[in-house]
Amino acid sequence: MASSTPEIDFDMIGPRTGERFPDVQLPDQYGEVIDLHMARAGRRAMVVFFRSAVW
Amino acid sequence: MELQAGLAALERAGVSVFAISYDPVAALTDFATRLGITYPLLSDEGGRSIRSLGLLNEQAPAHRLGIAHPGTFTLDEAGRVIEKHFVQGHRVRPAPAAMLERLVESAGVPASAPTSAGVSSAPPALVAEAERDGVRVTAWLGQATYRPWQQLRLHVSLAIASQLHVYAEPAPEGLSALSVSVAGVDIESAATVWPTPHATNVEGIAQPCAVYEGCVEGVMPFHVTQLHPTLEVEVVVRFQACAATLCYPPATVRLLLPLTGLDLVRE
Repeated sequence: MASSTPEIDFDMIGPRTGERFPDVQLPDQYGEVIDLHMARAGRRAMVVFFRSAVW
Repeated sequence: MELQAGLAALERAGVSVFAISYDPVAALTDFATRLGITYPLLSDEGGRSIRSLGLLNEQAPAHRLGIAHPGTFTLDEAGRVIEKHFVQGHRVRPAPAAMLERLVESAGVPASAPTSAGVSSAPPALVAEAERDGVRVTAWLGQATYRPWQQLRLHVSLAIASQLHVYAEPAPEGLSALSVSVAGVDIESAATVWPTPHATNVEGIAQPCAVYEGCVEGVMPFHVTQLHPTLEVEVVVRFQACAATLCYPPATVRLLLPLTGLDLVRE
């Protein structure tokens, strides 16, 4: 990869594999506050971090 | 996001989807309405959660402070992280088809074919193939379009005739290992990920050799840094097919995948 910035070891940042994902409570697109773990209700989940919906 | 297209299949497989960004609620409302997104888009305006999770992208330009590293966590039923996938840099991000492939794979479902759970990855949208020395080489992408800095996943599969094998790295001295590279304007690629080869004894070579037999598929992430109306991705596959007592000469197969470029403006 041609890049001038040092590569990041993503294994070492953010929640680690094997750990419980921390509690997250944030408003959704309807303004309703969602508790991630309550909303998934015991199901598996994909948590996707994306850069922006605007640009 | 084409993730929406795979949502029903993921839901049927027992997987809920959440997306988090630093956008205000109003921007997410507009985004969800325009693209018909029904899964939760969570607003972390100010990036407080992103920061506390340790996912703040500190390499982002100052006017975009608060953005997260783009990536995906897969959680099991107990909420534990069973897989995480992130890409380097603040510009590169997974293309929709690539994201769906990752999601399907980490949900424990094979990526290449529909299953009883009803989950499948995006079908190949661009395919090129050729046959040489008893090896059928296929290169494919899950989408025929790209946007600058989207990370795509190039799949290269080899169907190797019975009695033949190809060498994995490290190949014995004098023999060529399987490798893939891509060539094209403004393309940046990462290393190809191959399955673990198996060791076999080859006549005339003292040490066991790492080889592939039957079918093998590798995946190479790549992205294009500039917008082009069309862009030919040349996939160069090198290998050497051998039987127990004889080898073909090293082979180079070139396959062309014509991508269509789309601007960064969201639809």
